[in-house]
Amino acid sequence: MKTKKLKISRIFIYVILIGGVLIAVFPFLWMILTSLKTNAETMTIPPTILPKKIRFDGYVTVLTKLPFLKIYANTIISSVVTVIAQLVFCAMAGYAYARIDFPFKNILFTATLAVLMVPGTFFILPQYRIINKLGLLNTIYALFLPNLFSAMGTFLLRQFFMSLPQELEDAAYIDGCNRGKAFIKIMLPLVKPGLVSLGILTFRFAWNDLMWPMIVNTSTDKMTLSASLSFMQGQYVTDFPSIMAGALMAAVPMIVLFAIFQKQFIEGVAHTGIKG
Amino acid sequence: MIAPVTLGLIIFYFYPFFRVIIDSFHNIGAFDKDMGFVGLQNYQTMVKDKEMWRALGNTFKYVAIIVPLSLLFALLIAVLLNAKVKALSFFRVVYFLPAITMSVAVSMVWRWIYNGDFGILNGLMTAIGLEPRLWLSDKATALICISTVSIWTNVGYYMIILLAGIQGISKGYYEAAEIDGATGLQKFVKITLPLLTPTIFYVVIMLIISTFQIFSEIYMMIDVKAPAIKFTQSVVMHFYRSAFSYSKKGYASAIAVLLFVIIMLLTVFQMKMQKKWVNYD
Amino acid sequence: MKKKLLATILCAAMTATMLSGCGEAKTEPAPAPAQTETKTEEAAAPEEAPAETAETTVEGEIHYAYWQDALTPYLEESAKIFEETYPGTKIVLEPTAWGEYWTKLETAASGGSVADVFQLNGPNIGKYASAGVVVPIDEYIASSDIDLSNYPAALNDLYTVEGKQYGIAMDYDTIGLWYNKELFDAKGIAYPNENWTWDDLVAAAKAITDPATGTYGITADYADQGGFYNTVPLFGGYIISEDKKTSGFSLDETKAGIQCWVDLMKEGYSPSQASLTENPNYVQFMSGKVGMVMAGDWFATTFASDEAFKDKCDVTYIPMINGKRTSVIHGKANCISAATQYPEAAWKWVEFLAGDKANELLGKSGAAIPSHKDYSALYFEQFPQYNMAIFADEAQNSSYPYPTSKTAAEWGDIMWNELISAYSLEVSVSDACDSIASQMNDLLATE
Repeated sequence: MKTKKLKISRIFIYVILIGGVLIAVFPFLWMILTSLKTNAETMTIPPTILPKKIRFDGYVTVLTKLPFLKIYANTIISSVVTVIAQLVFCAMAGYAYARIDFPFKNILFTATLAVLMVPGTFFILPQYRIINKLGLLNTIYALFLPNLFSAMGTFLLRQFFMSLPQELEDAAYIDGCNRGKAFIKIMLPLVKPGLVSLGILTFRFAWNDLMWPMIVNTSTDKMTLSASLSFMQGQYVTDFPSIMAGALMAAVPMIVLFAIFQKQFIEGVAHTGIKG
Repeated sequence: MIAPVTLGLIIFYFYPFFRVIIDSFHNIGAFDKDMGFVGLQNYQTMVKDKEMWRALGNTFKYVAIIVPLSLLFALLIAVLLNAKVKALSFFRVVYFLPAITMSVAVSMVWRWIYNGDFGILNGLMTAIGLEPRLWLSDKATALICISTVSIWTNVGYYMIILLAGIQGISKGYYEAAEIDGATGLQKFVKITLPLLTPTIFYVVIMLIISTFQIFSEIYMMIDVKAPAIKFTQSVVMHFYRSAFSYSKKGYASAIAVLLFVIIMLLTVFQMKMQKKWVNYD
Repeated sequence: MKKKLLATILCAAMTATMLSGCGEAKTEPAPAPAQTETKTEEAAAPEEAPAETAETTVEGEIHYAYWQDALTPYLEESAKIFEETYPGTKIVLEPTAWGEYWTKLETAASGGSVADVFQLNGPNIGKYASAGVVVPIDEYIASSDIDLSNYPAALNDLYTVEGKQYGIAMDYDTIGLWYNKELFDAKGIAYPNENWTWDDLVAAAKAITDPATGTYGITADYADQGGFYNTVPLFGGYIISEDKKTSGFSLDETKAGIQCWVDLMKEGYSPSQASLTENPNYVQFMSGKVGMVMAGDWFATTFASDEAFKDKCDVTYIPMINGKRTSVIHGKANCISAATQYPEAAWKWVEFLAGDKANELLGKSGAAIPSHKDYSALYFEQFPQYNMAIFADEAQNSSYPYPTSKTAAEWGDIMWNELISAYSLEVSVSDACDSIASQMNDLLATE
């Protein structure tokens, strides 16, 4: 009796899970199917499910009308630079706030925490003007410059450093390490989960950000993926296959990256919850 | 060691912080021209601006829909996945897919699915004998449809965090409960939920902060000048339109200040509430 | 001949050295006489010397911003020829989607990163000219071969702000009534023709509308240029008074010109405003669910490029009202940024686009009607299947100038904001118009 009940609840679990999978996957499927249709096929009522003949017109349009490789490169460069800079700068600052005493430490740390509380949109208008003053509008630098510095990252890594026992560091000093060496050799490897988490959070943000790149850069060859998708949607209103082809091409790199670093991704995300 | 971050924060964050507050008392018009100090005029405009109040109302609606439902579904799936299911990593990966897909691309697909004339959703509705709808133009459905997209992307991401939280709970508690003859539901309510509160708290905070600033989904699914914008735009969207579509940057700064104050209050409120229900041992 | 050429080259070279020498890039247009003659020489003997001449005066990377994607092939070809003519130059094309164009342009202009040459339209020229973002080009025109009488007078006026001309129209457009022949055949109704009145249009819209099949007679959503800008003058109203001091929205005649559209909406002969916001009128028209669309000539290329649809439609005049016929005329113009580092090259590009070769290319590309009167016909020839002659006839014989003023971009937003509720049948046309009139008059008072 008990086993039967157990079995029913098992089946129930799988039904829900598989239903969820369908909901999660369907939009991707629909994106792929649409991208392979002709324009006329997408504009029928009721909608056609499968394309009569597989066509790559949408992809051709996107690739000829937009400098897609350049756009990929812009997005990757700006995301990667942002991640690396944040990891380096925030690890340094986070360590300093956690372990070193220096003048005005409390005031500076409180100020950093205050930035954490302010929504990112708040800063956009003056940031735009600063980039303008620097003469960097419509350049790749504009895409990432303000994002290199993160109050959130500093705070997150400080928490990680705080949780490490002081004895580890002391042992390093006894072994003749100086502070810099202890930081790089002993402390940094120990906060690796923190670095991975911060890296993923930052990457996801930089990859997805729409408003900032849209404001600072205007040329098609200086755009990020998200900004150029918004451009495409505006430009090819009627051309659903091209729009879907563009969306798919923008989505693929991250999915591939995820497929390769699946474990690290999931662990990194999981860690944000444990420490934050 | 703090020099790079501190310098960067001063230039790109501290200075802008005060700049925005100053700008909110100025009239800044087309081509970023500062037409001088106008006192509280921008704030007075804001009080009278119906769109602003509607945007604020919409934002709270987004929070009220997206936060609990994302949490609920994420928790449900996390718990189910924790029940020793087969192909765990398959499910984890598939559920995570929406979370790693560019949100702009996601919004484009959903906009296409919701399309009032050629969308597959209306195709389904007609096939089962229901009336097709203009999902994204209809006052009754547009905001819910946008929320759905946001929930769709949130669930997988927060599910991973919650699942890690659940797996972090010591097995000892469950074994003890099983000896006492507790059912699955009892175990969930008595053990999992209370011990998971720190993670849930974190998830709720993250969800509220991100939902409060919802922008790209709206921007990609509703045209800046569509009538539907009035009943779907968030405060951030209204900020964007004021600053960039209507080039009223002084007024937009005032909106930014309001946004800041609200998020500030919310955070303080949550910190206070946290003591009541979050369980740290 | 040769001597004169040498003199001009020297002269031009000297100016160039002087210019670069003092480091002041933003000098007034270079000495006129030398320039003109160089130009004449070029025209006379294109093979011989232009490259040399060009090198000394015209150089720089010119960014060119525009919104209409259909223009890209024509612009690419023009850029290629231009770069060959002036080897020191490079044209960088920067297309932006219509929905984002004005936002981006203004953001870029505020930051000084704006393109060197960009397209402006009627509602925006006043705003950009009075803010000094674009420069007047009267002196350039005077010292060039350009004969302004080759371009529609209404468009020269449109781009003249406070007596100074800021741009030369690159194309013009008028509005026609496009109709789906299949839907007319299916109902056994005669196609729209030049003798049609508004009542005929309403009757046909009624006949075609069929809720059972989801077919509609016409699209009657909010449209200024493709909609009430044409009907308002026919009813005897106006958008803005001739002295640009008062709004015409409080007039009953103006209201009637808008009411006629809202009535089509009320009767259910048109998809709802909401529906037409999700899928714009021409998309619904092309999907075969709408009988008629009042829209500009520029849709010809969109319709003709769709294999399945291209032979199903045709176009005719806007129906007459009160025995009169009209179509508002508009055109985009190329304007030069005040912030450009290369004013000479920028002007040369504007001049080139206004010239014979570019107009010929534009006409043959089928993307828009070339503004130069000698080349308009080339455009119409691209679409033999459509009755394109009507657009030229409207432009010559019954065009109505595009209403604008310095704050046109702002009152355009007001118009949209108020009327969209009227088209959505939420408020009455009269109330919406009264509200526009008072807000618009306040704005006009600030000009």
